[in-house]
Amino acid sequence: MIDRKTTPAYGIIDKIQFPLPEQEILGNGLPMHTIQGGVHDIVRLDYSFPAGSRYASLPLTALAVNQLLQEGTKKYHARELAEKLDYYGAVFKPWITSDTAGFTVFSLSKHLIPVTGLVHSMITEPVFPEEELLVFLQKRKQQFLVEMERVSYRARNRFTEVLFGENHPYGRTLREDDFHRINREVLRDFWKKTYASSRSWVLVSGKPGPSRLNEMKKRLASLPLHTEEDTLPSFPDITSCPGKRHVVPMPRHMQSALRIGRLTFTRDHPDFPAMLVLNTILGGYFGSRLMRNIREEKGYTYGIVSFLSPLHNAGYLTIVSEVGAENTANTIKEIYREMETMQRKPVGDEELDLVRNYMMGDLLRELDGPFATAETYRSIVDAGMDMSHVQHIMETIKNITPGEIGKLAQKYLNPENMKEVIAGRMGE
Amino acid sequence: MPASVNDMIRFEKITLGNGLRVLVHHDPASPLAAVNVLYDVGSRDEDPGRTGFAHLFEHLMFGGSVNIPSYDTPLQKVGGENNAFTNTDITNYYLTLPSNNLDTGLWLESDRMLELNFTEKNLQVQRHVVIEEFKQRYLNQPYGDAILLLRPLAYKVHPYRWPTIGREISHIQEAGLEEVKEFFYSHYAPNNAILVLAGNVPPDRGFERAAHWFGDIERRNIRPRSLPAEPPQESHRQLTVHRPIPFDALYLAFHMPERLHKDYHACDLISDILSNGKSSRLYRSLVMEQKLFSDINAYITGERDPGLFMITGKLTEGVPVEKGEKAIHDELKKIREETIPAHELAKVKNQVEANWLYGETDILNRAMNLALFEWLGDAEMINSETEKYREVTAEQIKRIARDLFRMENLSTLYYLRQKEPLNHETST
Repeated sequence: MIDRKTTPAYGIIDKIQFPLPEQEILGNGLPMHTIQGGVHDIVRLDYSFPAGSRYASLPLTALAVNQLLQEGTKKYHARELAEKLDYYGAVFKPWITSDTAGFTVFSLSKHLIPVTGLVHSMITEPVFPEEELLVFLQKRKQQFLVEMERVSYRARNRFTEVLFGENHPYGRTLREDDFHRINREVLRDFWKKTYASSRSWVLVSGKPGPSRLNEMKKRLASLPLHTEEDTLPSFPDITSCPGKRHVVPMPRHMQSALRIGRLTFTRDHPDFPAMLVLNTILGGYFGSRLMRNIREEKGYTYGIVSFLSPLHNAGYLTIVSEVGAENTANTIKEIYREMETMQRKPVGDEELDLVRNYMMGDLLRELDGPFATAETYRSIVDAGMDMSHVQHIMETIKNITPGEIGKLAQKYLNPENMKEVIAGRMGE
Repeated sequence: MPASVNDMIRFEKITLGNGLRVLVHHDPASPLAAVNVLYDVGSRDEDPGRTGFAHLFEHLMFGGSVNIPSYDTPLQKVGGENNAFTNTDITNYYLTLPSNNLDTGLWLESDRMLELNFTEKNLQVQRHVVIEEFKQRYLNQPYGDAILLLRPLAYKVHPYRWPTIGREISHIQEAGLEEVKEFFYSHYAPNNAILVLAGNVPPDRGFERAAHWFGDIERRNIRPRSLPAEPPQESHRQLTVHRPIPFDALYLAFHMPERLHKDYHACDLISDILSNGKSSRLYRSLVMEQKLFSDINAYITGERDPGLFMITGKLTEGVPVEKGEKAIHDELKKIREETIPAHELAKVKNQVEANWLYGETDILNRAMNLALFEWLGDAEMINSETEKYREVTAEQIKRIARDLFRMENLSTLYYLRQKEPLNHETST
């Protein structure tokens, strides 16, 4: 008979081996980061530009530019770009955040150079054709109106408005009339300012092979970048909306979407690594306190999570859930109860050890192979930091004490400092 | 054959005395191990009066097993992460952890294969969680119930006529402890499962540890499967519903061959020709050129028994649904009557091959695919899958399109806007 009652012996992750990125500043000033490795002959490219939504004066501009770069250039019609990318089996994914925008490209190594040619034509000579713009606006407007029927979307939007203020670049959200204010001139202007900025960078990961990597370098070094200092708008003061609870009434819905949270800080803040640990305990993994209480104990929801969103000039903590409307009030009460417990009672050793190991395992997954590492590294470069940040996080995970976590909870988890957004209804 | 020997997925396989099939795929480059346990049970094995059981049961599998009170805690404690999914055909459990802690994963998975030990309270809570999941994913989302309506329209006899989440909430509400237990003993057993270990696990060690943990679990009598075949559809079916949504939508479902049919890969390629990427036919013609749809998609459900070839689209504001429908049928007529150009066929094959490679970078993905192909009959098929797409000819595509895209093989759902104000129109 084998012993099934006792936990098998296990090891603790002490060190994590990961491919260290190489960094080089090319002749035109563009930083190029490289993470080589992998089994297959495939390459991932990440391009990042300071072209996030905060830098545009009209809300839809940054998104439209990001999406429409692939809809026609001086050299290629939109249809041709799509045909060629699809023929090479390349995947082209535009992405955008409040601060930065860019795209992630996957390509077979053998097609890397022609694929790069297409991508660079999009970056340097887009034409924003009238017809493609109109289709984009119509499509997006319809998507937007569908989203407006989702409790989760409404809560997310209202929450950023409440935290940062409705007119702040981090806080403002889309409105239906924004779709009528965009034109080609607006897009061209924004593109010129942001997609040739000296604050851009590129990350190449995978197995391009030495000669193709060299060719890539040449191509990247010939991208025209502004040499003078960028004149991007500065960061305005944050004025949160007054009042604690903000309700978006959606009376027909059977579930409410909840967002509870507060402003915190940027990734380079001294409390950031410790706050990652605190957040994991509270709502950052399946065994978190919120998940155990509100899903596994009460059955109010399919899921509840909390996370930190570090931006370039601010940051925030959010707790998110969709709950049966009749359980909305009780869920909010339980969320605050969990916060207070974290403030009042030190985390037990057993729970903390579990969280340490879980988080180290998570880092191991996030740094497994060149592509996973690229994904992790991207957000670190984006914050202007390097892999020593990961080292710092690991040290914190290993060494943080229950006392430090308690202090942090007292500092950041006061229920009275939280903003609440409820989209849906409060229940009968 | 795969593009190069490098791209082969090597594995070894044994069958334990109790019927459990064990596969090991060794990848020493990863510090992780993936453990995937596939059970040959899905919603097609449910009683028509008790739908949603296979999925509810998946939730209960985390409620504690005979020797281990909690599944998640010991796994998180060794740096592991896990999840599971249920579909019409299978229930699949998977985890990743640091490879030196492989034993913990096997201990947990083997104990819950041995015997469950959940309580009335677990069942009660998970019933609530699943009901909230039902709401969050299907009932509380715009267009969310379309798939719940389509299945019973397309299938009259086969159990694919209800969705995995269940036909209705009451089936889940009424689930009792005894019948749930009965479900376990008739479907969960070593002789009805496939175990795959992937990552930093040498085959000898993998087999030895698998035999240690799973070897003494007894075979069980699996409830024999005898599913009624869906008779050929004889005439076009049509259903119209009205919902509080902003734009009309159209859903087309054609019956198509089963997963192991020789025409399966050609059907998949037809869906790619129609809607994979921005150069695909439906996107180019109906979204960009004719501007009839804001969004259109074609895909196959890919089930083991004869599945569905689906086309779904949201109409551009103001376009009558009949006009959009006719335009789709015009495109389908082209595939039926005109031979696909060689370049276009090469393009969709390149896309399949490249996407296959991109997916293979992840060990968990490799583990799941191995389990899936073994379940289909032989894990070795994993290394000839892209070749099967390569072999599809233009003539075959035309022949299959003729067979698929017949009105008497089609169910059409008009999902139309109900004439009453939407949320964003009633609130500010």
